Amino acid sequence: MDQKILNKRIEEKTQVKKSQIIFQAISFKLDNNIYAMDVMNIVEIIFAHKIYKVPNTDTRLLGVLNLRGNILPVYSLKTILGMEDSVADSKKIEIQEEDKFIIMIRKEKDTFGILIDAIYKNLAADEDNYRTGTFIEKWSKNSIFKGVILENSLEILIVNVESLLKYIVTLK
Amino acid sequence: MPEFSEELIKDFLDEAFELLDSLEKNLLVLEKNQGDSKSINEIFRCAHTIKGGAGTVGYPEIQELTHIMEDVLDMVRKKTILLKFEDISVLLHCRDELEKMLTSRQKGQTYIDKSTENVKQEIRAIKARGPAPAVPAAAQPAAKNAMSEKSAQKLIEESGLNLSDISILTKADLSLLRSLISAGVTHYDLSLISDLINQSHNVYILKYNFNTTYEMKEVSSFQIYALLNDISEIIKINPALDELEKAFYPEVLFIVSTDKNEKAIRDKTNLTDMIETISILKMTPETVKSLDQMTEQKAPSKPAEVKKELAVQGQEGGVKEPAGDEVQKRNIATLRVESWKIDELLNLLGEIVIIKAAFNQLDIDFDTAGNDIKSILREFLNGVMKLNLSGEGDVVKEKNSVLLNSLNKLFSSFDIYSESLQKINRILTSLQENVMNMRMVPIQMVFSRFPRLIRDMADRMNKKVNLVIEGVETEIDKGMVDDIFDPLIHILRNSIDHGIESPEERLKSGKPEVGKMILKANHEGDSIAIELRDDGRGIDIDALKKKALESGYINNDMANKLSQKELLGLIFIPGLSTAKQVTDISGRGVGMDVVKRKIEEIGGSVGVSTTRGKGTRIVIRLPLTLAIIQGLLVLVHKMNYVIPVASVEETVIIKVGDLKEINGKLTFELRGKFIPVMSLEKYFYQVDLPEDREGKLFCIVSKFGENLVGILVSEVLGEQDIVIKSLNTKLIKSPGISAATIIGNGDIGYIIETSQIISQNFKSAN
Repeated sequence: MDQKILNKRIEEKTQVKKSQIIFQAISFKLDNNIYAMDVMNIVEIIFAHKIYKVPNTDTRLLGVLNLRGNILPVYSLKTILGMEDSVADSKKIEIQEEDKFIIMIRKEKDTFGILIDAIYKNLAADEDNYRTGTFIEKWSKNSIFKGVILENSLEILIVNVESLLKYIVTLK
Repeated sequence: MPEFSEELIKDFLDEAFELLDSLEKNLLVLEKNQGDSKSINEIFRCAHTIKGGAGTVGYPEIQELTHIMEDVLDMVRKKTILLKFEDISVLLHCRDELEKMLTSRQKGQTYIDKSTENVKQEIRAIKARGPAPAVPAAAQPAAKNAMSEKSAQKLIEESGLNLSDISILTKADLSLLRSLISAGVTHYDLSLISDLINQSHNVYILKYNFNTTYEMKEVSSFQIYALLNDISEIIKINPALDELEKAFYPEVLFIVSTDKNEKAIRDKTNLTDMIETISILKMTPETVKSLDQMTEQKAPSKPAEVKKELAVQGQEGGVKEPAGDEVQKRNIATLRVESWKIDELLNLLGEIVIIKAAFNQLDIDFDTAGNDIKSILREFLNGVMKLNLSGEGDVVKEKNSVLLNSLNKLFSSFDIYSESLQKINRILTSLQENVMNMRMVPIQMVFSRFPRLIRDMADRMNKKVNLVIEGVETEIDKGMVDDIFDPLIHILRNSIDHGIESPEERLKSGKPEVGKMILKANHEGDSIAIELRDDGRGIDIDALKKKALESGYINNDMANKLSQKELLGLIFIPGLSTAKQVTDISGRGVGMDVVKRKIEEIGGSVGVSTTRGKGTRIVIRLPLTLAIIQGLLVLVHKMNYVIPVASVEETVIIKVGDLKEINGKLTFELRGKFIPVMSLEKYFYQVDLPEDREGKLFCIVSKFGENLVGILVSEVLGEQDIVIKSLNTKLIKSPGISAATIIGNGDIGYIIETSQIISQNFKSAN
């Protein structure tokens, strides 16, 4: 989705709220769970097409895709979070996930994608609904999350892109 | 201060950095050959141009330092002082300071450091050391000196100035007279002047340096002209009035005749905001006479030429310089283009090359389909004829001929399409070459920094080294410039530190005191070879062996088996250093392994050979370009892979049954010689070789070091231009794959680094 339009929509939606907005996020679905991510790190969201497996690499690295001439890695957030067992099929050469999406993320010089099932909605983390707290901080040192947004009855974990990058760099 | 456009400042900075390089280069030439007037002129020009530019954009600290440098350089140019080794060092420090200042300015800061003051002190000290006794070679400038000294004396007597001003006056006079000569003063002018003097008129040479930052600077010279016209008769102006109308000249020379004295002129024209300095010299019969002689010496100088020079030199105003060469050089039309623009162009071109591949595939498809259609149609038409349908025969015939016609048209269109495609291919190839060429820069860009570094390093190590650089015009891909700098510096360091002996030691072993290092670049086929040779003590292979044994890299058995050459290869193993002591320059045992790795990362190789006591030779081979390579497109387990043609010796088709297992290793007999083979299907996908002994396999023979190795692939698709798309190797860590490409249909193909997969494969097999 076009970033500008997205930002504008988020702006419109959040204007009514009075409390200070900390950051804006996009939430997405992995199976029935919902997670979110700060929009600042998101370059674009694309339909998943062909993902080419890279031989002799970790199964959490799904492979690479051709995004307008750039060849970029795509990871499976489900496997990273242990929601899905990684099936080591070394003989596979490509993955077709037609009805899924890939969120392209850029952190400084590194650009990579994560495969998600669906986009849920846009969110704004403000002082009212955003929680970090000592427990999350402590816990998130070892995880890829940095906080939680309370949205109605949902608790949406926010992915910390920095930690995610740190984590995927360690993968083989 | 007026605000200058960023563009202007950027231009100034760009030029200044280039000038600094030239300054350094020429200082080092000057160091070797004091009499090299071309170098000193160049150095002077550099300092002067930087000064002028700094003045224009308003960087006083740069202006000040270059000004002091200029004073000393001027003395050198006039051969009134000779530079010692230390003096060159001081000037080099000045250069470094200037670089720091410029870098700070680039970031929008102002560089302030006490080191600047130190350097200024040092350079003032050189200046204060003053003129050495005139050497015979410098007879002519010395004569000028004496002449102006004389007139200075006269002036002092007349104006009653105190003695401390003598040196200033001398310099000013000299420069005035020189300006006058460059201004193209003629015999006619001089005779007029002497006539006027004889008629007891006062004749003055006036030099006005205008404030270049003054808002209305363009009118400065006219204001002065008007004022002088009031009190005197103007004999000559340089540049001429019509020139002054066209452009602003920061320095204007007047010759006037008046009955007023110097002070009156000064008072009348002293417009402080537009004038920086006024220099005044009263002409005497003596000065006219010597001027007459001086003009005679430079007789063939045509006024037109002088004007041209002035225009080019701009700020230079009058000071004469053999600038002809420089002017010529600058006239070669060059365009400064930011490098990312070329990279962008190359990216786009890369996309076109990919699409071109798709068109080529389409062409082949059309061709086969067309042939099929043709042959089937022929059969079909023949069949229709035979049917001889009653009554409708004519209609069928007519329709058949229409069908035939349009198909023929279609086929000829295909032919035209094919031809056009060939044309596009040709154009694209040359376009590609041209853009690639744009990325090529002379290796001088890398080498130019070495003389200085070597000089300082050798100085620190108390060694004497003469670095000879050859083949600076050899062109390399711009992308490699940064990548090869560190490895080269490392090798050079090693060479000075461990290779070249101390002067005493060299003399003892019957070598010349000064060590020799040759750094040479040239093209070899489609690669670039950079060679560094020194005449030092060479590499101690025995020590290397001992060290390798101690650290457990090799055992005794291996040590005895290894050839000298293989032992020498040990220097590329991390952590092995034979240096007896660690110095701040080298010897920490991290080194050659890093050099090798870095060079291999950009697709190059490093070779070393040595003769004990005689010296060492290190050769680095680099690919010509980084962006597009010739690759062999192959299939491995239905996935596209590219093997760079550079690492393919030959391709052979073999049967599974031809492979033999020797000592558990797969081998294949190639012309009577067994070569080890590896299967890419096995390596990448853990797929075993087909059981069928008659099954066809493609074996790509590649060189690994000195040995041949066979690489088995499922299919060879053909040779292609491959646009390299680098992979983020921080995230994608598949041994042997560090780049990929996009082939005709948009699919991704991985580019294989053969040396890496071969070593990886056989390492794991062991």
